[in-house]
Amino acid sequence: MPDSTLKDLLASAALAFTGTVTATGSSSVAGFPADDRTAVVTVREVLKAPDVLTLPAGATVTVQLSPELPVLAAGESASFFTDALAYGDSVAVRELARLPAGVPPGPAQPEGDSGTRREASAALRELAQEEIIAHAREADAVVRGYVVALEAAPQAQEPREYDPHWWVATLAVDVVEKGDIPLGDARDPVPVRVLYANSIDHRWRDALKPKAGQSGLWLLHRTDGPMAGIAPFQVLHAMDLQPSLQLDLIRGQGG
Amino acid sequence: MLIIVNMTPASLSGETRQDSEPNIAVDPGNPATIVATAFTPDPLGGSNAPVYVSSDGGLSWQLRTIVPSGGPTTADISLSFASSGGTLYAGILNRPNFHFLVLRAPDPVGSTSPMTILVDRANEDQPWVSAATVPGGAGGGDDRVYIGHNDFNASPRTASVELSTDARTAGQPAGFGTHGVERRGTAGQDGPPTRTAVHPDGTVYACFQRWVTNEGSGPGFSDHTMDVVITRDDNWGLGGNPFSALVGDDGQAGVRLATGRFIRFTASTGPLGQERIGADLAIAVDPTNSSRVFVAWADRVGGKAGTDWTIHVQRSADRGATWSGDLLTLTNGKNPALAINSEGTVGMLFQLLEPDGTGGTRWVTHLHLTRTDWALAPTDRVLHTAPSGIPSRIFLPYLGDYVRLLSVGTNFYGVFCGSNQPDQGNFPNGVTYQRNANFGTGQLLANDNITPVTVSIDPFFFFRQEPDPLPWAPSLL
Repeated sequence: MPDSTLKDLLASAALAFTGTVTATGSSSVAGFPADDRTAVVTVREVLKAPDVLTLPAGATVTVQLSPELPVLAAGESASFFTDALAYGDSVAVRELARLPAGVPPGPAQPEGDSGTRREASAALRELAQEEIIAHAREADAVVRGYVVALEAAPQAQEPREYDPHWWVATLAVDVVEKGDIPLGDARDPVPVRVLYANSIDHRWRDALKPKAGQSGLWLLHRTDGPMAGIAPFQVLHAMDLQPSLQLDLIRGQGG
Repeated sequence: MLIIVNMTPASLSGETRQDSEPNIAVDPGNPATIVATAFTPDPLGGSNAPVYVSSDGGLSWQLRTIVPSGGPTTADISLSFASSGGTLYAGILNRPNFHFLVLRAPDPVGSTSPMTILVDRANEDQPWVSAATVPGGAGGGDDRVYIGHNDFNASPRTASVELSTDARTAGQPAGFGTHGVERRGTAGQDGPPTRTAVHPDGTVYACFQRWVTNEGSGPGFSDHTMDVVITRDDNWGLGGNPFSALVGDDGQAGVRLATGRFIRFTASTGPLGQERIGADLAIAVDPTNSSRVFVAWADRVGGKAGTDWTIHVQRSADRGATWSGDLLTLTNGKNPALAINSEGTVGMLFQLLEPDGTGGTRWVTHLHLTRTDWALAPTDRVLHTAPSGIPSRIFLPYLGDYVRLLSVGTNFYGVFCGSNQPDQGNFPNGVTYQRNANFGTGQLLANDNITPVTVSIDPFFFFRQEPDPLPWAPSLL
């Protein structure tokens, strides 16, 4: 990805870090198959990682180097953009892209390693905002409101293991940013009925489950089929509820 | 000798997920190679879900992201190696659309390549994989794979077996095809589990729960009566109408070994120690005698007004034609898993909700071993015990809709899920943790070995050597 920006690279990678190769042709994960494109890298700083995977400076990561990039020798440093292969005493990853250490592409001037990390942090914030905006664009309605009622939807058949167990949340809406919903205001909010999956089966574990009194910015999706007669909208995605403060972001970006 | 290992790798010491519903496969040709699963996501959120792999007989484990699930985790997943050759087979429900996938990996430990997709079909549930290699004669060396599944494409007769009689090398679909094993009418569907057991002489059993009547429903549950039905094939399922060798008293294929049993199927409520109930089933065939087969299931003895969830174990000595009646009943138990070793010793792994003596309850995971089919008291080893309310449930199933027990030669291998609280009192037969934990303070610790980590559900592997070389001192090992 020679023309990719740091943001592009971070978007494509699950784990990104700068580090120095300390060995090649071997692995720091016991039993992990190593070849001449396997490098053991000592981490200098992490650019992107999930909370569950803490990699302090000095941690060791095994990197299966991309076949499309030059092999690195011991002592060489780079920023690695990767996804997962194995987790043992340490982590093994597959290299997707690489940058020279401390040299982020794009208009920003490199400021050394901490500059790369600052640049990465800013890019990750942008990516998070873009994800919200993209999700808002896919929504059929965007409203501000709070939950005033929760009730079980009528059930047409015997429940099955993976049924969503539809419930209806009634939202009192005072701001309609997008969608075919009558305007309300703080003194006279409009009630909007929204379906959600109340099942706690693992299939629905990530589905949004509104709580009594919960308020925020709701990204509503139109209900299709017979369930539309029960509620015109549904919320199933964890991102369908955002803090009200995100209204400015969505307005500013045309969400 | 009894070895118990917390399977979460050290590099994931900070994880707090509900890693429930385990499964396991041991390579009979090389028992040091073991693969296991749970609802464990790829922590980096990739498009392949992980499996736990061990190349040292289960003493150490790592996660490998080789399951092409289309997301970082799977829904249901089950595994089996064939008897020889080292090929791993998996049946999963993938994550984005819950399709049933049949997968294959020729070398799941030595390679990091994703498994090959052989079958991809919608509207399915709960795959359960068994496999064997034909030891000799016609088809000698072929891998034969049997995957019990609940096929809603075949409603209302949903109990089915996806099978291939030569699965090791052929391209997609590698000979796989689905076969209904339910021949009678149902109350809309069969229960989720269809379990298979394969014997090297070509005998294959498939057992399932036929939902006979609907008895009402409430929020998150439905009541039914069910029959426990066993079917059999005597030639690897090679014929045109597989699993029809056993005929019931009504002339239909499949013997009903228990009839009219009441079940409460709690898809989205957890009445038993935060866990749901309604679909427990296990089967094992004696590797030395294909006529000797055991089945375990659970039902509610107290009927609609009852509160129990009772495990039953029965045996057939005549290839499933007649049954013993209950050899064992266990009140308020879940997740029976059966295996029989090469000496005929029957093992049963199960999880029991037991009073703690102070008004609370604990989930207690037991391993029974019996050479008398429970006529005499079995060897009973408590593998794990922990308060049933900690940690709080994140989703269902809390511990899993199943666990698994296997035998290779004389030895038993198994996997279960439970609280990862580092407390020696929870492990009366000892335990080894890979993740950071301080058993002195009872505290899990993050990768930095300093930051506290909250208790969650983890998978645990165990190995039981039979006969026990040191039966007087199991806790010392």
